[in-house]
Amino acid sequence: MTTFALVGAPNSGKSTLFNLLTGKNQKIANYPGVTVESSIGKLDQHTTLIDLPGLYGLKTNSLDEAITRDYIIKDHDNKHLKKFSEAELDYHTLVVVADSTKLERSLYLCLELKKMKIPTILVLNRVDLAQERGQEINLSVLEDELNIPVLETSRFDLNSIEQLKEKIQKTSSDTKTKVQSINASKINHLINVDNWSQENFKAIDNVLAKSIKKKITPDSLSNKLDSFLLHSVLGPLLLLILLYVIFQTLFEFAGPFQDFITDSFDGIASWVTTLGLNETLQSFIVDGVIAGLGGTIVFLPQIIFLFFFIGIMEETGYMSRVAYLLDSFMIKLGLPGKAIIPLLSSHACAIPGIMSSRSLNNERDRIITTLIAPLTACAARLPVYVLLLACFLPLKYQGLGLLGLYLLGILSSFIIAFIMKFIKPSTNVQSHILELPSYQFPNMKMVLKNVWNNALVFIKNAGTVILALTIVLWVLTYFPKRTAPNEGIEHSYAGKIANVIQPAFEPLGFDHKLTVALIPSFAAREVMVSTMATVMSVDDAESDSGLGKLKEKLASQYSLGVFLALLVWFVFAPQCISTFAVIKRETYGYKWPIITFAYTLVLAYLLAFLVKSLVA
Amino acid sequence: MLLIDSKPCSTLEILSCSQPGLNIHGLQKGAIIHVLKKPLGMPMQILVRGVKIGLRASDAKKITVKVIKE
Ligand SMILES: Nc1nc2c(ncn2[C@@H]2O[C@H](COP(=O)(O)OP(=O)(O)OP(=O)(O)O)[C@@H](O)[C@H]2O)c(=O)[nH]1
Ligand SMILES: [Mg+2]
Repeated sequence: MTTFALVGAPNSGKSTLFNLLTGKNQKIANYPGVTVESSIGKLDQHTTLIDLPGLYGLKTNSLDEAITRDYIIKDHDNKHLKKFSEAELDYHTLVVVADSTKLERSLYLCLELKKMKIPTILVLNRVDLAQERGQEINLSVLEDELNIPVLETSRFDLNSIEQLKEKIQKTSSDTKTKVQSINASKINHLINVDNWSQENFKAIDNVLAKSIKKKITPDSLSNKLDSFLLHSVLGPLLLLILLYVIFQTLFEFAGPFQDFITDSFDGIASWVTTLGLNETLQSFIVDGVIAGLGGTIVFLPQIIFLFFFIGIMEETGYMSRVAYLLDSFMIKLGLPGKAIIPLLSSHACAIPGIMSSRSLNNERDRIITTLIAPLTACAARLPVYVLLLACFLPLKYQGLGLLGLYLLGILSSFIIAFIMKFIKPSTNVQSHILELPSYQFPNMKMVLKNVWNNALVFIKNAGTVILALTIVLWVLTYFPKRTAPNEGIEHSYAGKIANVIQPAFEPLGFDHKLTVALIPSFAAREVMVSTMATVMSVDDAESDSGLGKLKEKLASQYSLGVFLALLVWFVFAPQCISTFAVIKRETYGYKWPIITFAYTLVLAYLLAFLVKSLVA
Repeated sequence: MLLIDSKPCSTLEILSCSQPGLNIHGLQKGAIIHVLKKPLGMPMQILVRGVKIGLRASDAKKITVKVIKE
C-alpha cells in the first residue's frame, strides 16, 4: 500500500479534492482553518490518501498546523498522529495543493518542501477562478523551474480530477524517496533564520516571473461587496438584519413542514388508539415511542434550514467577514479575531466548534474559547427555543425572540471571556491576520450534502439516544399504574424522584412535570421537547393528547415568568454529555470539563432565578 | 512612517516589521503592499502577495513603511 497526503495553505481546496478523489465527506467551507483533524481515504485499492489541516509553511503557529507539520517531517510524537498506521505515516509523496488565484503566496510551502528534498506533486487548484480573472501560466516552464510535476485542477472539471488521480497512481509505482524524519524543535531552529522567508518569497517571485504569461486581475467584485458588507456602520447593521431574516425564515418556512410532521405523527397515534390494544401497550406506543420520536423529529425542518443558512454563509465567504466585523470586540475580550470562528461554528454544534479552536495560536486562547463555546446557541437548543417561544409569543415576534436568545448566548460568552481576561491574562503578543477570501457562488450540491449529513445525525439521535431516554422516562412516569384517572404524574416513580429534586427547582418556578422533563435533558438538551411531550400526555390521560396540543397545554399551565426562566436555563445550563467528553479530549484532563460544567450550572440557576423573581 | 498612518489606496514598501509571525504571510522587509480600506474602528484591509487580509491596529503599529504611490 502506498500513501499520499494532501498538504497546502488553508482554503486552497484540499478537502474538496480529497472528497472528489475518495468519495468521502470532509467538511468544506470558504474560510481558512476548516479542517482541524486529519482524515484517511482510499484513492483505489492500493493507494491511501490523507487530508490534513492547512498550513502556510513549516513554521507553524497553531495546533492544527502542527499536526500537518509533524506529519510532513515525520515527528511521530504528536498525539494527533497516533491514529495512523505505520504505512499511513510513511508517505510516498506529498500532493501540495496551491490556490491558483494566490500563487505568490501559496507556493511558499512547496518551495520549503523542495528545499528539504521531500518528494512532492504540485496541484494548482481553483484554476477556474484564476482563468476567469485572466491568469495564464506556462505549466511546462513552471515544472522546469520547480523541477516537480505540476497539474491544474478545478472542482468543476472532473477531467482534471481524473488526471490528478492518474498522476498519483502513476507516481505510486516510482521508487520511493526516503524522507528523513526531523524533530519538531529542530525544524524550528532550521527555519528560524532571518532570511528564510525572504529567500523563499524571492524564489517564488523568480519562478513566477518566468512562468506567468498573463497576470491575474484584481477581484473587483469582492472589493465592491466588501465596501458595503465591511463598512463600519452598514456592515454590523447588515449582519444583524441578515441574522434576523434568517431566524424569522426559520419559523415561517419551517412552519408548514412542521405541521405536516405533527399531523403525521398524530395520525399514527390516533390510528394506534383504534387498534384496541391493552392500555399499557397503547400508552407505551403513543406516549412513549410516538411522543418521543415525533416530539424531536418535528424540529427537523428548523435544523435543516439552520444548517442550510450556516452552509451558505460559510461557502460564500461571508463567515470570514463576520470574523472581521467582530474583531474589535474580540480585542477587548483579550481573544484573537480568529476565535470568532470556533464560536460561530458552535452555533451549529459546540463539538466541531471546540475542535476548531485548535486553529488558535496558543493554549490560553484555546482554553478560554473552549470554556465559552458551550454558551453559544447550538442546534440542539433550537427545538427547545422554538417550542417555548411559541408558547407565549405571536408568530410575528418569534424570529425576534430567537435572535434575542442567540444574542444572549453569544454576548454571555463574550462577558465570560472578558472576565477571564483578568483571571487568566493573555501573555503573548501575537499577530492577528484575518484572511478575507474572495466571495464565491456557493457550491449548492455540497451545502445540501452537508445539510443532509447533519439532518441524518439529528434523526439518528432522535431514533437512538433520545428515544431510549424518552422510553425510560415513560416507564418512570407510567408506573406504578394510577388507580384513579385524575391522579397526576406525582404518583409515578418519576414523580417520586422529582419530589426529591423538585425543591431545588422550586425557586425557578419549575413544577413536578417540568422537573421530570428536565432531568433527562442533562444528557442532551433536545431531549426536553420529547420528554415534555411524554410527560404532558401521560399526565393528561383523559384528553386527546396530540403533539399539536403540546404548545397549547404548556401555554395554559405556565406563566410568562416560568417560560422565561426555562429559556434562560437552556441558554446557560450544562446539558450535553458529548460536549464535556470533547472538552476532556481537547484539554487532556478533567479540570476544564469540570470547571465548564460547574460555572454554566451556577450561571443557569442564578439567572433563571433572577428572571423568575423579576417576572411573576 | 507607520503602516497604521498610511492612506487608503496607497502602495507601500515595508521597511521593517517587528511583529513575529507575519513574515510567513509575506509581511516583511522589502515587501510591496497595497492599502485597500481603513474602515473606522475595524482592522485595516490590505493586499499582500495577492491576498486580501484584515490587519489589526496593534499589528499595523509594528510595521514601518515607505510610500511608493498614493
Ligand atoms: N471555484 C472553485 N472553488 C473551489 C475549488 N476547490 C475548492 N473550492 C472552494 O474553496 C473553498 C475551500 O475548500 P476546502 O476544500 O475547504 O479547502 P481546504 O484546503 O481543505 O481548507 P482548510 O481545511 O481550511 O485547510 C471551498 O469554498 C470550496 O468550495 C475549485 O476548484 N474551484
Ligand atoms: Mg480542509
